[in-house]
Amino acid sequence: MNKKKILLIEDEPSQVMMVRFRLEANNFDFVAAYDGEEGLKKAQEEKPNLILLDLVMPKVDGYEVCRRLRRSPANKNTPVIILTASIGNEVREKCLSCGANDYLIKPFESADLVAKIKALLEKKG
Amino acid sequence: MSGKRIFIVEDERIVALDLQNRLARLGHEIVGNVASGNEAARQIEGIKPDLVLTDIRLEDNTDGIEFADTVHKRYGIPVIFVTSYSDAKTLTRVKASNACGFILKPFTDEELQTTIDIGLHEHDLEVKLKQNEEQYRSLFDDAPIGYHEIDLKGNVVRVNRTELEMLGYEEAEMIGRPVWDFSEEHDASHEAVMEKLGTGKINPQPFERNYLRRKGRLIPVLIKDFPIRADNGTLIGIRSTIMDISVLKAEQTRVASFFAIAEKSTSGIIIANQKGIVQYLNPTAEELLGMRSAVQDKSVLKDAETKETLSAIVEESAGGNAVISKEEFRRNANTVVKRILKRREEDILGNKTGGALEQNASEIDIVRPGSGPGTGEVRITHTTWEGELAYLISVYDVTERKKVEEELKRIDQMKTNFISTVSHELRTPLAITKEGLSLVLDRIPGQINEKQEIILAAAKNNIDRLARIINAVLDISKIEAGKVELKMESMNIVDKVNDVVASFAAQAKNKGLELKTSCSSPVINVYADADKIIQIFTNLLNNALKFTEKGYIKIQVKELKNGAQCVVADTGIGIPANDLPKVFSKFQQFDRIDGPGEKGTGLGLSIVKDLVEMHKGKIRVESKRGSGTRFIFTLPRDITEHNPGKNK
Repeated sequence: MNKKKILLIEDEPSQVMMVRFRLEANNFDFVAAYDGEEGLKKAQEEKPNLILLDLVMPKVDGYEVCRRLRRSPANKNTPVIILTASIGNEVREKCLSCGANDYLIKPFESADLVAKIKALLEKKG
Repeated sequence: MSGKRIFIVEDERIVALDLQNRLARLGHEIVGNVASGNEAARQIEGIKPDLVLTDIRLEDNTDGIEFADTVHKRYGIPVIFVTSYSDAKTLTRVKASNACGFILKPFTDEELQTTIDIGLHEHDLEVKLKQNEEQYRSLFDDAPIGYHEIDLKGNVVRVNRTELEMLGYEEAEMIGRPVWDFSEEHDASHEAVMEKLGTGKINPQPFERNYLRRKGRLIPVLIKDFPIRADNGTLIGIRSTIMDISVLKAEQTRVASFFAIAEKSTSGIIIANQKGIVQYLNPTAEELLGMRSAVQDKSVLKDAETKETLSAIVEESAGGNAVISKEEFRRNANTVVKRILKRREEDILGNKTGGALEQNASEIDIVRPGSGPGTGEVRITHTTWEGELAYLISVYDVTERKKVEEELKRIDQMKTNFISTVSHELRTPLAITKEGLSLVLDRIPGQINEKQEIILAAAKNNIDRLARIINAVLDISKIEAGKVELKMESMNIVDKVNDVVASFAAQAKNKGLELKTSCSSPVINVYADADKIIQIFTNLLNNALKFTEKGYIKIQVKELKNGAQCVVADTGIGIPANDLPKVFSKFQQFDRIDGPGEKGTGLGLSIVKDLVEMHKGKIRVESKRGSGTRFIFTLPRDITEHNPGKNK
């Protein structure tokens, strides 16, 4: 079975490192981008099976990245999970309205992250 | 002339009969004919004749003149003497008597009739005169105005009852005393009265004096003098009318006081009629509405002649400071006020500030004395002015208040932004740290020994705890800033209870605790925010789980008439009585026995209380050391009637 490729768009290198170790340990291919622009580019080039997306980032913020992904032919059906340190009702609503499939609030349990990824990938088939 | 009912008193019977015959011939009716005065007096009372004809000397030696006086005085019946005595002494007595005529014997029928006619006519005149006199006397005494007359020496010669009552004296106490004795301004009054009497110049123009009542109290009066002249035109005294104006004076003083208050009020006060024409404007209103800017010399602003006191009514003044005319000022005032009224009307029509005229306030631009433009608050109510419906417009300077309000809003916004930024900034490193610890604990980078695991596990637990504290602090800040919006809906609280209980099942089982629910019905509807209800139960169950080592935790929901009563009870260590009042305070943690499970934030119960109260519910706690704790709270079925907009 082919390894699934996960793209993480996140400006915090330490966070990227942690997620990389976790996902690689769970047998995923891992690709990272460190700002929104790079993320959109890599989403096109790498054709990941799922995208993890931070919200607060330089250049293009997470909401905008998500909206653009949904308009892009290559990624419009790629599952997106938003990872955010912001909380509150408005965050949940904004996450869902920009086209993300799910969201997780930092700090999150890594088990939850892996479970959500697997659930979305299974749904996609 | 028609016949009269005549009573005859005559002791000489022949004369009496003759008289009777002659009177009958003349067409009169004889209603009595007696010889003695006593008998006559007895009969007359019942008979009431039109006229009594009597001799002067009567039988039983009654004196006819005395008898006539009695008849006249007691019954008002005219008397005519029929006598043959014509001596001077008798005639003098007859003339002095009250008889209205007499006739000397012998006389002709014609003479008799003429005497009767004249006598009755005279009697009629007398009656009328008496009536007039009574009317005049009543008018004199009972008129609602004091009246007195003085002679040339200034002494009171007549005074009516009203004035006596006004001043509290008996008639005898006033008559003969100089009129100035009754005036507070004794000397001035004396001088003035003597001058009037001396020069004869008596002006009917009314003037005021303070009169002294007997007990010393002053009565302000309005006096009007008129000369009393003899037939030849010489002055013989003064008659004066006196009006008690104490009520009027008191009212005037009151009006003046209120007027002074209005003039000094630090609120702008404007009265405008229904057409918006300004009737009164106090100095503060002038200032606030910018009508005084052109006028520097305030000493010329009072219009002493007119009572309308548009104070800044200014003609070109000597100093040249005043630059607007009375008319211009009025026009300005009317323009400004009409604008205010129009604005208010628009607000009402646009329903910006609620329905009625008197509800709420509008805002306008104002000029602040000495410090330029500002914000004014205008309130308008109905009032009456000179008997007609009018607007009372109040203008307050709220510039400072506005500034403070805006500053508070800004600080509040800053606080909210700060808190969410801080929360976000804290979470990011926490997330990285937590995941780092998790990776190592999960052996992803390689094996660790038992001690390392214990240390890292404790670190990870405290990272989680820190995250919870941050969440709780953020919740509290939002609740206290009124930033929490409830998403109210009608929902079955039993479903929510079951969800929460399910999420706690594993933890309870781990601790060996029984987790029970008891609901009075499978469907109990309340009107609430589902997320907040879950948070309330979650916090209470967390709390119960932490402090209960054996036994059970039980959630009860009972349907009430207006909602639901919820109980979260445990069989834990309980709370000491002296700590009970502090249970809902922030960062209160007492007698915590550290054990497995999450460490608390000290904020959970405080949030529970806030959330319950936001739902218009009430919460209380019952506990006893060693025998468990019960949290009891209520949730209303529907709070739409209790101001649903408050939490927005």
